[in-house]
Amino acid sequence: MAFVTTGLAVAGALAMTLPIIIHLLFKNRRKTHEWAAMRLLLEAVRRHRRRSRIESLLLLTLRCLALLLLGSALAQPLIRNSPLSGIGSGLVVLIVDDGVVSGIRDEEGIPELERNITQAVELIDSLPAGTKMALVGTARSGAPIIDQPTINKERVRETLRSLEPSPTSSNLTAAMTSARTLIESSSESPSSTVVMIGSSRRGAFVASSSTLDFTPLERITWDDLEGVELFTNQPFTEPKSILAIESMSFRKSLSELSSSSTMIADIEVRRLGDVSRATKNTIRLTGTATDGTPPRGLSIPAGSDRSSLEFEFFVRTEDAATDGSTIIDAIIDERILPNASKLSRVANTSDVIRVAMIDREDFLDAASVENVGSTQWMTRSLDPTQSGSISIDLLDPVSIDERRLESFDAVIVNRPDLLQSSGWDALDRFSKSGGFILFTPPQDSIVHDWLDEFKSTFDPDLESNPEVITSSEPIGLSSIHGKTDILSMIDDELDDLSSPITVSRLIDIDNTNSRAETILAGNDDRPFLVVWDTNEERSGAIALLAASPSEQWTNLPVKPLMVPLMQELIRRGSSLKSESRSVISGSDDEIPLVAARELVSTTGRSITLSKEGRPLEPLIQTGGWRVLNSSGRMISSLAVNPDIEACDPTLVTTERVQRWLENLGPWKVSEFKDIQDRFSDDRNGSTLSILLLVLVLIIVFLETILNRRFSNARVMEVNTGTSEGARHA
Amino acid sequence: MDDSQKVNADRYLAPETLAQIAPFEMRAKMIVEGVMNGMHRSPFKGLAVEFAEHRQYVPGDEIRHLDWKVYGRTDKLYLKQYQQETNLDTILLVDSSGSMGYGSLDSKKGWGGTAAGSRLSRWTKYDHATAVSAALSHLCLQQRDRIGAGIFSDGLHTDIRRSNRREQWRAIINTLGNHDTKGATNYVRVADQAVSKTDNRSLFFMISDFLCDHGELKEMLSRFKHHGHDLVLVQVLDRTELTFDLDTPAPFIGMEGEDRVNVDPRSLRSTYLDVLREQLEGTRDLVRAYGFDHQLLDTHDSIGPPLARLLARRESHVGKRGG
Repeated sequence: MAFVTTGLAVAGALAMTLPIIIHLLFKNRRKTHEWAAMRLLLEAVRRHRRRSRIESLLLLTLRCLALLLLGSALAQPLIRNSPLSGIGSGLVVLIVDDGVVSGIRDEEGIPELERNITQAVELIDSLPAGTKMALVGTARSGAPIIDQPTINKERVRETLRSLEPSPTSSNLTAAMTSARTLIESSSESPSSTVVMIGSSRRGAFVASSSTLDFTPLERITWDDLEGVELFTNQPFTEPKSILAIESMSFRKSLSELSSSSTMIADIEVRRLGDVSRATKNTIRLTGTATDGTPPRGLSIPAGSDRSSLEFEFFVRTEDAATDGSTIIDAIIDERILPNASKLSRVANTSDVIRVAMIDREDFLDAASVENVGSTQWMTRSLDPTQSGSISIDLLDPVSIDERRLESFDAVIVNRPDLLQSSGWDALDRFSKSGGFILFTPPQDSIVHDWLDEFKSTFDPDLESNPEVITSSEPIGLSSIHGKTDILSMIDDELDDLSSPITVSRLIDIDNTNSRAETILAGNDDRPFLVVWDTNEERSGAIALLAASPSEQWTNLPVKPLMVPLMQELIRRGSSLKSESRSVISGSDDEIPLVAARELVSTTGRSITLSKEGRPLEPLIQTGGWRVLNSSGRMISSLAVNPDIEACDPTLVTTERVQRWLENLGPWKVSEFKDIQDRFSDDRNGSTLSILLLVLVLIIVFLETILNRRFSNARVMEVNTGTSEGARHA
Repeated sequence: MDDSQKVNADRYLAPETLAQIAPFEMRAKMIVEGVMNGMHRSPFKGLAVEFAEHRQYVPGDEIRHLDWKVYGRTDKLYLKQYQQETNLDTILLVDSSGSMGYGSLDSKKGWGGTAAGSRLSRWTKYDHATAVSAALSHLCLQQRDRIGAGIFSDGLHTDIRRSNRREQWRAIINTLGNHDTKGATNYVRVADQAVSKTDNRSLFFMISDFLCDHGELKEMLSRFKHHGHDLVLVQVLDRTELTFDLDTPAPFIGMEGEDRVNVDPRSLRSTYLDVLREQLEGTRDLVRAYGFDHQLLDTHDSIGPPLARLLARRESHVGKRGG
């Protein structure tokens, strides 16, 4: 048995002790009564003792029972499947948008989620007694908050009031799927209603909609479920604008005046939502390995939605993790959506980019230019001045493993044909951990069977021919702009630099159906350099050069493009590793570090990693996290941020919401009051409560009768005239 | 006795009480041995006016006492014997034990008050006993009978010698009025002491609450019976004792040193009344079995009517026996 208002039931149970407490309190406060006929009284007490105990116990029991039942009656008890429990026996699934965009605050600093919760609580109050309720949040991939339908309104109310805006994205379709699962599993309910309460700002739809046409990514059908009604409230109409830090990247300062520990942060700020008004704010940097920066002003004129600025800051490398990473936070002084006002990123404080060159060691010195191998060309191009800014280690293809690769920022594979399957696995893990890998064909091979292994490991959709194409006429190169920004630094010069390049041999690859983007192609449109950029599956990036950088294949090594091309590929590629240390709030993706065992946030919250490196619970809390190994040493850093798109407060019209929901079932977009009225019609009191109240009255009546009977049953009549003494009437 | 100790005795004896008992005479149920001529039968026969019985003539008897009428009818000589009439000695025994200090009635204007009553500002059972004593004393003295009094608890403490002087009434009232209530009661001992001090058959009025064991009461009655005294038990109880009309649960403590006990009067009332009924009926039956008289008085009632009924009952009883 449960209660609609459990508090009153508890109060009733506590009130049951009142008669006992009153008895104990007044027991010692009574005034002593002097009595002459004590012998008679003691005899009466002796005779009455047993009866008195039974009578007192009976009266006490009745009084306690009356209070208990009164409390229970007021608390509206509910018995599962009992016709006495009122008529409300359906299931109502509340979907409350508690995603990141629900944290948008009004002028008084109250988040919109509060308004949603208030509406949800009002709705619960209006539900008939006995209605089963479940609660689903849109954050955390739509996981149910109350997954076992309950009739305990107080519990649902308390759970609702404890909700806070999550930094994770709203996932409406996932929440709907959860609601549907709840209804399916609650087969005993004859009718079910799903009520989705949210502000319906654009950010709420991002995780569950395609970015192009704003249609749901998932289709949810309700046709097989009978008697299900779907409601959602009207979208909010209050325009809001937030400033969010869209990106922050780091580079070493090139100024001679700067020390090696001085870095530059390039920050992109974006205004989301209403851009009709100019804004002025300040922004500052902070971090555990830096003293931070003083705030700097940031003005965005009316009508504009972006701005960027550059921060120079000093880092203490000794405070960084063993891999040189540290967390830098950029903070805007705007508090409309606090979760979007801060962006945390992992900065690599290391002075040296470490590159692993996968090739067999060649003990022969190159006697002539023709004999210089691809590895040597690349080595020279990466460190032409031998400054040591890029450190290159030669690894034998058969000896690489995951742990060895972990310490490198980028890998160049010149002999993929010699890789063992464990080597491919190690490269796969390296890529997933954010590493950049550049593959080049082995210069001496005619048939490139390694491409099969490459495709199965990295991209099955890539098509290739294992035989090398040899062209009698050297093929010129042309650059293809805008596909990826990996060469953005030399984008302007790329056409000029690539024009002198000719290719006489290359492997034939077709990336038409592949995710790979062509950066450089031959004049015959055959791809020369393709890149698999950062995407959902790969944290890092893969680049494939169709020709070996050696004289037998192309004149690239001796042309001006070689140095900037290799430098940019490696520098930009290696920076991906740091960028890959940033995840979206709510993620439980693997942390691609073999030694990683635990994550600890700046507030001390700890999350253990599984053997595969997957957090045992989603990373919700935004900000910096320290990655610890099994001995508790900080080996790396991880930044958790909300999805900036999910923070978008742009208003969505009712019509558009209606169209969006039409793809997901017979949803009705209604005024909240209309939804509430839908349930108010069914409202009814608990029949059991009425019965209990009647029982209380009977008990009170019985107690009165018994009390009178026990206490004053007979009246004494004294007849002194006839000397007959006491006589009972 | 100085003036400060004088009790306003008039207040114990209201005129209406006097009026109610005035038509009656204080009569002993048995033959009493008075020393003066009076209205009561004497065991001494001879020159009296009231015929008692016949006795066969024995040589030497005075001839003038021969009943010639009997001789004429039967030819047998019988002497006429006459009952001497004598005065009645009445002794009041008033209980002043602790339990007699109980009272639930506020002192009324015009009523007297003993030391016990004044202390409690209540009309106590002892006050009521004093009032009864005042009425009975007055009645006896009106009949020119001698009246004496004793105050007792665990023994006979005060003894007022018997007298038929007018001052005797005030002496009794002052003595009773200035006595306090305390201690327990020992009826047997009191009976022993009382009868030992009385050399002639007398009428005793024992005024008490008689909240004692029936065994003790029986022993006490047998003492009086053995010595040939007449006894009237005037049982004085408070209205609250008779009805137990209390509401609030409270600890009850005895007035004669009994144990304290927590009682819910409303719950206990019926059982208490059962016990009380048994006590009263037992007392009454026991007293009757010894041929004595018993009268229950309620402190909240006037003493006149019940006393009048007592006296009337005694008169009729004595009349039936030819007294």
